[in-house]
Amino acid sequence: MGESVISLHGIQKSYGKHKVLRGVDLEIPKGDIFGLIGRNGAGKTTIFKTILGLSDYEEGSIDIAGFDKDPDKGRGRIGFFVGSDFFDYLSGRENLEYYRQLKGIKDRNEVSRVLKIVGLDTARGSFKNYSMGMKQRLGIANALMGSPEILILDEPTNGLDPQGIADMRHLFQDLKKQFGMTIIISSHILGELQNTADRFGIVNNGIIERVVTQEDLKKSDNCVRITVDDRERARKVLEEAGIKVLGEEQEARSLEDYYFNLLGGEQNA
Amino acid sequence: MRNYISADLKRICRRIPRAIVLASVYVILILIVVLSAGQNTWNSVTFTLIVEQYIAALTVIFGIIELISVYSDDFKAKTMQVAIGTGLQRDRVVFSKYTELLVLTFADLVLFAAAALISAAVVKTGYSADQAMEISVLCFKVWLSIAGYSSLSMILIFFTQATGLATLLYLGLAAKIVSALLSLLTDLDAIQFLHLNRLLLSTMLDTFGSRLVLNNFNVPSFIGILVYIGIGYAATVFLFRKRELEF
Ligand SMILES: Nc1ncnc2c1ncn2[C@@H]1O[C@H](COP(=O)(O)OP(=O)(O)O)[C@@H](O)[C@H]1O
Ligand SMILES: [Mg+2]
Repeated sequence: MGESVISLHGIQKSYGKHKVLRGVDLEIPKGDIFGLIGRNGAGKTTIFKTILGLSDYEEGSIDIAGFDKDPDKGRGRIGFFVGSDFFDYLSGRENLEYYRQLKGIKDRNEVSRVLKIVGLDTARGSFKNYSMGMKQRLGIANALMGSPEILILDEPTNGLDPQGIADMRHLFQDLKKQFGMTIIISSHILGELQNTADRFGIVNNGIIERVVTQEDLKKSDNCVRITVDDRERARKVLEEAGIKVLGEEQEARSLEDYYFNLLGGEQNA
Repeated sequence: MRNYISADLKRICRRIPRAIVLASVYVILILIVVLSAGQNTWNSVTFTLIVEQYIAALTVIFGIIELISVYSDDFKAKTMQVAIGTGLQRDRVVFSKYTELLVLTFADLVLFAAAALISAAVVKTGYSADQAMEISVLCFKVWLSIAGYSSLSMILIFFTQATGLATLLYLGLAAKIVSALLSLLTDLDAIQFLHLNRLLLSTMLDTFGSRLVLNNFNVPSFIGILVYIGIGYAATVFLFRKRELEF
């Protein structure tokens, strides 16, 4: 694991008597796509809020981009998407123009650049008439403004249709490849980040239960899934080659797989 | 911080409902001046009296318009969260927002005074330099009142992260409902001799304003007003420091 851009040590936080974070330790390696997964209410959003300075905590420490003494400075390196709230009387472009000024970004082409990345460069009308997916993408465009080193995305695919989700995955991969961004994405849908993230933090009940990498997932090497067109012949060939078939189960196709097969379009990055 | 202020000011000035309300304030003023000018009782004294009466309502009108302009959309769009999440210190958020309010209401009042004096000049009301000064001084007093009452209301704004309750408090303060109730207390026989009434923000604003009209800068009441502003501001910063911000 390379150097960390965000480290959390022993973060504890309560809402009244309800302890929501119970000692969160987390290291986010530079340049990784890090998936924070866990069921609703596990504490993902709260972890992000403590990183972003929107939520106070009782115990522990946070180091962002080496600024452990002055987290506000570190936060200057972060772009984030937590919800897609904007001024509803402004257009998407005007909203981003406002945030460009607020964030002190000098380059006037920045808004067009990020709108293009999320595919909203031709969108018309005011924000309040945007579809859910467009609002979501505008939120991500806002996070991308100023090319931050670190991107925090809280359930960015919530409310998107399957094509939107697939597009989003592509986008994350591109951002990592093109800009070397470190991206932290949360999701409560397990399959969603499977092929997107390099590393997963499993959040449960206010702690990081475990961090696993893609390699860890691949290591269980006696268990492979091979999809064939002729099941009977495949079994025979394996037996002839002296390979014991220990188990075999009829695998249902994933709905997503089925959907994309039927309608075309892109699946995983 | 400067970026936050200037981005907000640009956005607020383009807000159409706000522009309509402000425009009607000015249009009504100009109409009053122009239409009254036709009456034979009209002279520079009646002009000054009418405008002063109008100015008395501005603490409420401008204060509430700008309070809502500065905060309400910000809360809906969760702009503060973005500002803080991308590294703006919380104290600076409070400072930025309060500055915006002061800048906007100052501009509103300068425009108001200009509209009054220019429209009166156009209809040939021969007011004196003293009368013009008096109108400007009263506008300045309104600005100080807005600064004082809004700094107290700001405590609620930042604490509740909403404008509803705070606007009510502001209305109570600016319409002198709060001070009327408090003076019932301060006038109680047992404590009347302490003259606590003098310490009310509204009393100090009145003292300061009425002296300034007479070209007398009353230092104690001015300091008193600044103390109130400081208390509201400091309490806001203190309470906002650890406030949970929702998404
Ligand atoms: N502002 C709040 N006040 C009280 N409880 C909260 C607040 N925000 C979150 N919680 C509680 O904290 C727990 C973790 O919430 P959250 O971090 O939003 O989970 P996740 O994002 O993983 O779904 C939940 O039990 C939730 O009810
Ligand atoms: Mg959440």
